Amino acid sequence: MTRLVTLLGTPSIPLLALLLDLLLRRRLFSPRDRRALLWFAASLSLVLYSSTLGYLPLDVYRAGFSSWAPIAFALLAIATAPRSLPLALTALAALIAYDVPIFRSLNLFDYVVDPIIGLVAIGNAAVSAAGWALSQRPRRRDAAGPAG
Amino acid sequence: MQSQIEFAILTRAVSRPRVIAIQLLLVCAAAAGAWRAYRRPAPSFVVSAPRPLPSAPYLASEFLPSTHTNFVHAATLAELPNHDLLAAWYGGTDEIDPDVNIFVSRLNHTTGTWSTPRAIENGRAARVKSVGNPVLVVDRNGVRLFFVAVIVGGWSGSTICVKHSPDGEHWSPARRIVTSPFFNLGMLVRSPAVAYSDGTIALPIYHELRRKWPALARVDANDRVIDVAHMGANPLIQPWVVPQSATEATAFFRWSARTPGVVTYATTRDGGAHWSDWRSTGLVHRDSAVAAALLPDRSLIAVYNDTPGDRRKLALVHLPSGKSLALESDPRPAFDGPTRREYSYPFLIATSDGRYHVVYTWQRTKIRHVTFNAAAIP
Repeated sequence: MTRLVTLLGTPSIPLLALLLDLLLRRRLFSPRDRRALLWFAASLSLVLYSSTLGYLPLDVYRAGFSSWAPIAFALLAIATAPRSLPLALTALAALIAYDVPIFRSLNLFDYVVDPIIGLVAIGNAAVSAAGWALSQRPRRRDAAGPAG
Repeated sequence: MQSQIEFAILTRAVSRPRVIAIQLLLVCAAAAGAWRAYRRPAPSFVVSAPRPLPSAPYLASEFLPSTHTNFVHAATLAELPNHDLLAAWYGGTDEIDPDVNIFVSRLNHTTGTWSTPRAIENGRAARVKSVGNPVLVVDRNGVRLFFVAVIVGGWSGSTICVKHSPDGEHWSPARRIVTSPFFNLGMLVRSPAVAYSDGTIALPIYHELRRKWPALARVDANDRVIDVAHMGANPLIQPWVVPQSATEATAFFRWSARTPGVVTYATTRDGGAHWSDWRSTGLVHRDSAVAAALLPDRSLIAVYNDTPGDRRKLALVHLPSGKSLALESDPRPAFDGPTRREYSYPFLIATSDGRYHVVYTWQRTKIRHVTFNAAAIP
């Protein structure tokens, strides 16, 4: 058990925000916010962890040490703010946590995403995609319609 | 009811003054983070080539004191400010066993005797499965011992930890350094760090989870990683960096594959921030560690297993001339019952008295220490 805790390491700010959302009986994020956050985490995790494990010929993690990483992330959050203040606030919390820094890492990615939210988000994306694919099957049959 | 609350939050969220306030705060937070990253000085190596001392050839060897364990491996060496040598290695029943300890022993430079090895880390306090590959680093911040901590499975399920000591005697508890975003797993250490002029260090590391690749981590005095530069790709691991000027260095790599390969190298011209494509040295070996050092005339020496199959031979080779000196050459079978005829994991340093010291694993039961000077190199 202690080794599992050791393995899990530090959570990202979006994961903490989602946990807080659960504690507040889903009053922090709207369903649309939650979906957007999970899709963001899923896409970022796929690219970041594929690169880290050597499946992509890119050094994505290194970008998180650069001076333009917080600027790029803030621009994304600024664009999101008019549509969703809770998501912009989550991004602001991640940036402040990175600035302090509250964890041992000085890489922005460690504050924005972690493998737990990544796995949850990818699982959620897979279930959503499967659901969408299943929902399309009868429609296609309907669209084909009876001959003649 | 819940959807009404969510709608209320959403309505409140999109009010223009709040949005502008949050956007301004985001700009400030981004500027603070960007400024911290931007103000880091460009990496600049501290180069310490040994003094060219006019002296007769000198070559001597000895075994380090026994730890009375079934197995020992992966020794490291560093010179302390008072010119004593500090050595560390790991030993126990076998690799990745829970009874493995990291031992340290100190060579008193006035008496020439090694202290009795002392176990300083077994991973239990850090809640890890086993430990290995210690690397000693001595700089203006004191002594640091980086080591590999196995969390799950084998070596690929490892992370890197560090302990501090003001004097090589008293050690702090271990703590982790963050080098990978994926559960901080898969990163290992085995080669010496190189000092940067701003007090940070260049720590050669390598990744073994799924795919292998070498990298150079820039670590500050608080053990925080501020950059990780990839140095190559599969099957290269265990980079060994030799700085040649403030911005130039050569790194040698272990060819970690089942088939024989060559010792490869890459170069940097910007203090390790970027590395060239790897090239061959022409030195044939297979999946065994390499060590290297700079000579007073700016040429290089490397210690490696000069055999395509196993680790029964260990040689010191001058680069680029290719002249070599055999440190070990054992014609007997590599595996003979419990005996493993393996001479591996060389760790090479130059000390302030102009001598070179190499420590390596001797048949997995002892650590051998060879001392030589530049005149002894072929």
